[in-house]
Amino acid sequence: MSVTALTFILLLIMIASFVLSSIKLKSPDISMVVAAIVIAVVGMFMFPDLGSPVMYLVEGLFVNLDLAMLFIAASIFVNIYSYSGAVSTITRGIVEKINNKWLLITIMGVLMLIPGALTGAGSVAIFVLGGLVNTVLESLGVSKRKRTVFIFFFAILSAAAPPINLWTMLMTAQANMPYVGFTWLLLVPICIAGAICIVYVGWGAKPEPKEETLKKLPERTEGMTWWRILLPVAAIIVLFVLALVAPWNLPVLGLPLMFVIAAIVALLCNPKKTTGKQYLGILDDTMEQVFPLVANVLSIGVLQSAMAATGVRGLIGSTCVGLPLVLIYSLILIIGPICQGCFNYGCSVVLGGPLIFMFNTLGMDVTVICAALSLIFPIGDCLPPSRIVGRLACEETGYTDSYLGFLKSALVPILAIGLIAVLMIVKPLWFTFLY
Amino acid sequence: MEATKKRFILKIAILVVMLVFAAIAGVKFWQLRHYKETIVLSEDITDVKWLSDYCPSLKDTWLDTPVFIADSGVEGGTVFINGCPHPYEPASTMAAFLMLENIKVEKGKVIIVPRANYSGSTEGMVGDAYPRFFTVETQWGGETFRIGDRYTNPLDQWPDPFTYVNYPSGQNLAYQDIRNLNRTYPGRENGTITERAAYAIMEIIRQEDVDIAIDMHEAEILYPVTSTYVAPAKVLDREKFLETGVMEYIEPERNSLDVAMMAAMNIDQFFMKCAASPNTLHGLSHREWADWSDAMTFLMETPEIFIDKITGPRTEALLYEGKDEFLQNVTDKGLTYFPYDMEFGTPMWYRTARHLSGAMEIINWAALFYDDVECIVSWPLYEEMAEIEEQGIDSIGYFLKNPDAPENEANRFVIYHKPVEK
Amino acid sequence: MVFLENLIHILYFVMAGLIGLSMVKSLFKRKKNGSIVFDIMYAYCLIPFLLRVLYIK
Repeated sequence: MSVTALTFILLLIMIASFVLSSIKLKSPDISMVVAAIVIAVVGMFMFPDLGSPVMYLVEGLFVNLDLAMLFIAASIFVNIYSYSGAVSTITRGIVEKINNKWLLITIMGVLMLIPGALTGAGSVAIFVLGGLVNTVLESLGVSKRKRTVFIFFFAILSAAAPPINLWTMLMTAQANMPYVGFTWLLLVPICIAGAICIVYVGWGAKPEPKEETLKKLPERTEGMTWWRILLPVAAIIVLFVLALVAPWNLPVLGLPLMFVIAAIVALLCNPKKTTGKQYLGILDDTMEQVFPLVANVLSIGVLQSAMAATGVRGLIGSTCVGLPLVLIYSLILIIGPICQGCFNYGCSVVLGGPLIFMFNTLGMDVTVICAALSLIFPIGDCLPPSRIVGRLACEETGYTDSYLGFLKSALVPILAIGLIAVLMIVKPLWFTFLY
Repeated sequence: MEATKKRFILKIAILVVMLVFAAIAGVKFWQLRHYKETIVLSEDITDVKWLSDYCPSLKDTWLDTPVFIADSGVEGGTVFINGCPHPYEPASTMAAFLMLENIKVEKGKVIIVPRANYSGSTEGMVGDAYPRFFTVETQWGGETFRIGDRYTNPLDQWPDPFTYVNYPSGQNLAYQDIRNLNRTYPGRENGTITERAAYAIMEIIRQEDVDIAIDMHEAEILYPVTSTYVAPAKVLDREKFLETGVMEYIEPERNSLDVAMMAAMNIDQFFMKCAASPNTLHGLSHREWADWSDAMTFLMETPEIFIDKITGPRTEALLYEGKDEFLQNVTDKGLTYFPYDMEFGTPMWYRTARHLSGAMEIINWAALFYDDVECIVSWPLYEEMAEIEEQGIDSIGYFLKNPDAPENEANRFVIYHKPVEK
Repeated sequence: MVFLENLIHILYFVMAGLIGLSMVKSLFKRKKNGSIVFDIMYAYCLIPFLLRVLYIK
């Protein structure tokens, strides 16, 4: 039997074991590991040269180790910051002072773009601002589902927004292209899609009376001042900006340490009398709260590693890039996000790189195409098996209804950004004026 | 109570099972990290220095690595050969090892670094399921070598920033490129450990007055620059940049691209093309070595399908033979940049031999263009290796020397991040 | 600068160690997600932190 046939069988086995395990164990995270172990064991019999899979399965746990640490550190910061009463004070302030619904939603959207644009990670936008945005949108009468859509969509837009777009960076690195000229190519579609999302989410929402909202919000924390609110956020912003503008005068801190420093600042700015035991309690709760997400990103690494080892990744990648051009145009909006759901940022290497080379061979403008692909891939952050950002958004708003329902609601803004990106791929010359 | 106790025992059992898995994998990781390769140096190797001699803060770190010098004592050109800048491109290291074991220098001086990013060679490509080792068939059985990562091991450099800003160009690169030796040139003396290694390599080129600097790489066949020499047509006006911060490119005193083009045209045993190093892409050897030293610089890429992510099962055989059905399918659709044929594949000997002959062509053509850089040197070349392969013998193994043979004891050298007692 | 880089490097190992310890604690005692499935997840998620702290991987 050919390698193609054998790996196709493995792919089917992988999907079946993932689905069965998800039904039985009710956890997509452990199901990814189960699927990885199943294909690794079956693969060992199909391809005896692969040898024992223990090493590469364990190695897979390291693929997203830094991301897991980022999630933990960011959650610690956010929880300490919220505990101090800063978030509720800001929310009260915004609700009291701004009366225009559209202005308020737009401000929330723009604010959400910043953390991801600076760090390249949509999850950071949710960690830093998700809670605040959720409360404000709730006060504007936006349904829970649409709030989830808004937070998810602006989180992925913020990840795609310049100056830091990791998908573009990884593709340009692979193609030896300079990471130059992407600012407007990314920003213009993001602004258009963001505006569509704002209209979509805000349409029909009836703000509740201000007094009602204020009643629901926690009381202002005694002793809370503006500098106590601003200092922790300012600390993280200063660290981000310094890392960008003065990278050679500062040691590399890494995002997790930046959030730990900000958490320490938040702790020092906390006006409430808090004992060490209470802080330990917060840390404990944070670890439990963030663990499912940590398990998710670590598990996806195991599955990625098993797919690479057994050739399933190769089968998917080679089939996708080998499709006729018309099919790539028609299917990229499906294949790209699915690939992101499977490989996270790895999709820019598995699929993005080969596609860039292919379009380059056809003499098309690869800078525009690279930007377009970087707008398509983040959409997959709501798709299984990983669905990292989608899941975070649901957790932030407490959305527990059908996940499919959330996906359907998210379709309008997703199609907005997706169709612009597809147009950029089909007619890249129309967009060259943007760089 | 009974249920709680049972649950507790179950938790312990789960933990023990996982710890067993961790231990099994941990032993393998540890073996890879600490495995020491042994080579037999040619009689013509006259001196061994260390990267830390050029950047002292690298001493006692896993980025320190031996620098071998073969000096003929006859005035001529100085050639620098960089092996293993990306340890997951193993033919680069094998070519450097074969040079070190077989080099003869009649004129000029040759400096060879066989494991430029030693740290990166001590772990596999995370998430890419790389085999740890490969074994070369030899007359005395087999010699085992390591395959590594593209990046410096996080055990030696952690954390990554959220974006990497190359010094001094200010160009933003993907975050993990801060651990990519071939994105951190010209390096910084007080930077990250990888930047310091890059700085040390720049210092070798500057302090040893290198005329010809060759960086050996491998590339995926889906990448246009596979099977290619990359060399700069123009170089940075250093004085202007240091004064004004403006990057302007000028004609170099000696043109690497001319040399590379002639070398590529002259090679008829295998397919090799030539590309100009872009002025706008920073951190790479072919750009920064030329911009920050007076050497002519060249980067060589061989076709290595294992780097293409879309291969079949990732076995040692795939790495060593390079025969893959998926890449044949993709090649048949015209999507690759190398005339790939899975009957032949891209075997390790072929890639190694390409580097050996590719470097030799550069050295010879550089001397024809500029006679003061002439360096007369020899090592095994493509044609010899192809002939040996035709006899069914592994040509890499054929040219390796047995490190355990008593006659080789004096020249045995253990490649590690610090000197190893014999 | 080199000293600071080294210090931060060590800090990350300390952070990984603390996270690992917290996971061991949560494996045996936690408020949410009490099922055996989570026991298994806590146990395997501990592995990368453990191997990193032990300076193995």
